[in-house]
Amino acid sequence: MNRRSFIKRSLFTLAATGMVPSLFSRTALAAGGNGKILVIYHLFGGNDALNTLIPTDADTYATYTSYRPDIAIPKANIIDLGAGQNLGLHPAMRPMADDLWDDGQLALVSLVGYPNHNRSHFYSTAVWNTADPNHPNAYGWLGKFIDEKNDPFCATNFGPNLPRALRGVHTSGLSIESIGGFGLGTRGWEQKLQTELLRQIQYSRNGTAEEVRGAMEHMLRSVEKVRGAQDEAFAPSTNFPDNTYGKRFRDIARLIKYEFPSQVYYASTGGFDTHANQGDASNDSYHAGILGDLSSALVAFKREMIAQNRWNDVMVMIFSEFGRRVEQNASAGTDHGKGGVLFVTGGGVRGGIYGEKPVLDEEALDHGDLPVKVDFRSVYADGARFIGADPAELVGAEFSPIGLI
Amino acid sequence: MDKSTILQQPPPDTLAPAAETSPTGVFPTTKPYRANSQAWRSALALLLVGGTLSACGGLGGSAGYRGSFGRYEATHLLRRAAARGNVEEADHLASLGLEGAVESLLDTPELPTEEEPSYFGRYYHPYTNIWVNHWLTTSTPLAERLTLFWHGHFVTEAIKTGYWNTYHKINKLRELSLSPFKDLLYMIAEDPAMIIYLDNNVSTKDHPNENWARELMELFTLGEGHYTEKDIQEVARAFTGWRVSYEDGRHYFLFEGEVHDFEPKNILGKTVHNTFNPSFEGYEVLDILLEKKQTYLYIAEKLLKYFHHPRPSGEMIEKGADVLQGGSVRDFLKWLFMHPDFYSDEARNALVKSPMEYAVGMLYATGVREIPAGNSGLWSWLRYRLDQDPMNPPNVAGWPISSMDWISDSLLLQRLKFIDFATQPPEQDSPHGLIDYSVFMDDAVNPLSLVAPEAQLL
Repeated sequence: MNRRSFIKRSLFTLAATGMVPSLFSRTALAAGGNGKILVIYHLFGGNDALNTLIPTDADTYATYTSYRPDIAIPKANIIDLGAGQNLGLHPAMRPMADDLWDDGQLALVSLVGYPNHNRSHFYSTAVWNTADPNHPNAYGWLGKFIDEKNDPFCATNFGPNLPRALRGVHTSGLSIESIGGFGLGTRGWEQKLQTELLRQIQYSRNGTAEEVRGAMEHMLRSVEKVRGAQDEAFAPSTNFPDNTYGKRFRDIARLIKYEFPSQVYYASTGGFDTHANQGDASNDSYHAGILGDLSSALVAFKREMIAQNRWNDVMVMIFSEFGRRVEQNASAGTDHGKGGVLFVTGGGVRGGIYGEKPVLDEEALDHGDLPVKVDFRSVYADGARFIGADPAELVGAEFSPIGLI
Repeated sequence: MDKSTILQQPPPDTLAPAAETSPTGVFPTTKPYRANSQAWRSALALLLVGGTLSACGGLGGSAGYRGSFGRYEATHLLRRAAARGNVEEADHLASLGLEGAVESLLDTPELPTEEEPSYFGRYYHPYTNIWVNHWLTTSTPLAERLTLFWHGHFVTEAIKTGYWNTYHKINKLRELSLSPFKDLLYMIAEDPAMIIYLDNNVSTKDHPNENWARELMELFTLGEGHYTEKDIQEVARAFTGWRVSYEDGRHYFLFEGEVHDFEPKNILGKTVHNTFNPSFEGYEVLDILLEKKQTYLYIAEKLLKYFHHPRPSGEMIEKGADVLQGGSVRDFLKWLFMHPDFYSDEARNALVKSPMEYAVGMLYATGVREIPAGNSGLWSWLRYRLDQDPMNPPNVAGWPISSMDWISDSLLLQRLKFIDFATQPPEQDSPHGLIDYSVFMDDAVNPLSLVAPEAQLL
């Protein structure tokens, strides 16, 4: 065996087994922190908060139906949240009501958002992901956490593109489309590819080429890390629904089962930009469909976490970049608004209504929108504290946790 | 031992002779990457340019590129302009001289025959195949890369508009791709796919829908932060009545006075109130936006990020905006392609290929000139693995522009796996040309070379 083939073989062995080498040394630092896991789910498009969490006292409900003659949820169908609340959930969220709210584990943060609200999807998403309403161009709100851990595996995104939330200055989270589809084989082209990659990443470049080289190194390490999870069989105790949310929550549950070192999981699903024909309470209506898909997947996730004995270690935070206009538009839809509703759940989460109940009198509205009464960063502060990070460092000292745990 | 799997050590320095180590096997060993093989040349060019600039003094950005224009520079130009090519084409461009080469790339776009809706049947992949095939064979490939830009700018998603409507919009964008920005904006405002996509079709005097009004200013012209919420509401009112009709299986633009708001509107400090011909109020809004320098700053910056550098200088944006405002997209690109900065070391390989550019460029390099009509393989790769279904941009903001977003863990892995798909030997009867990777990536000689980071760039 000549020297070249020896080196080749060594590198390949390392690649295949993930042992030792300098290239992978940082993975050795991977640690589970305090063992708590924050799952963040973005409902992209601007979920219609007013048809999600609906005021039910007689006066407000009457105003609600007058603003929304085509899309108001009939009172009889609204899931009542109990005496004195005067609030109810969209009927498609029945699974969440039964399995989460009734167990006292569903926190609903009403009228959440950020100051000087901007109605752009992209600007708003950037604000939520950076926790910086003034300059939402920099790094993610969890970037500092990831940088401090110095471990790309401490945060994992499921989806094609890494969200800004998981971008740190030095280190960024892992981003994979699915566990099953993320890997390199040990034969044929994929083996050659792996060998050549290991060679290519040794030479630093300049500019964009260097960024791509770094991304290749990141990707190779991710492949190694995920390979372990792939090798372990996963037979969840419950059936995850066959929809995009079910797929994401199933993959997250699978990595948790495998004791993957991520303390943060992130996923995003679009479809909430309901400018037209968003529908009412009926089962085949559009908004009901997506809320129903989300609810059943979330409940399946809870069941699996209980089966894994991890439900108390998990906090799920589901946000949308804004709520929608109070008054429906001519297309039986709603345009972009301000105040939204955010769901938080988990074994240790204190269920209940946080923030303020929607009031629909004209003077209570912000130019025809639900106003923002709770800054989303104070909800993030709870999430940060949950995973053992310093909330002040991640979202600023002026935002104290609202007490979800 | 199979030599094709031998791992080569890096050359000790960049002046080492290229690996002439008897490449054999299916995938011959790759030529080692030599990042700086052309560095002396570029450095010299830069020195010359620097000299030129200081000599010209006040002329500044208007002084064109004066460095050498040979195969090396022509390769960069061709890769940027067209995202496909081979050494023969690069040499031809070089033989025309800089201005001749730029003129030839900016030739009037060759237009494919537009297929009727019935051609496509129930399938989605033919829409992708048609576009890719045109890109692989056209004599004006710049127009294809530019059309992809405009389609990512004036976004419609086929899944909402109907596939044929978005296809038709793309065809119109190609035709106008090099025109003044005004022509593009006028066309898109009355395009049925756009009217359906941004819900203007259901906007009425009583309930104006703001979707089109918002994106018109936020994404299509001014950019975020250069208008108020009130402006959006007023623009929405001005466009009430801009709708589509449906006749003989196709959608057509139509103005419906019954749902139009006839009251005056105040937009960006100007009054829009056309009692003589209310259907013109929409055009008057467009004219207000077209008068704003900000519109051209916004478009110029985006074009520069797509054709020049991920972080263009303020000076370039400013100058580019002037060229665009005073002329056409063709004028803008001619200015850019003859600009000294375009040939700088920093600009070469500075942009990330989108999946379409990556796929088309690689297929072309391997000699592929046609995806058979019934073949859905490429479409499937683009849609499900590389994350760019050309008929369905991800959202109204379009695709990332030359961005590292395309290089996430999952997408990068798929892009590398794609090399195997794209470089498979052809089926017996498919027409295959010469294999030539040199325009796709500097110094690439075989599929394994394409594992290098540079293959992701243009």
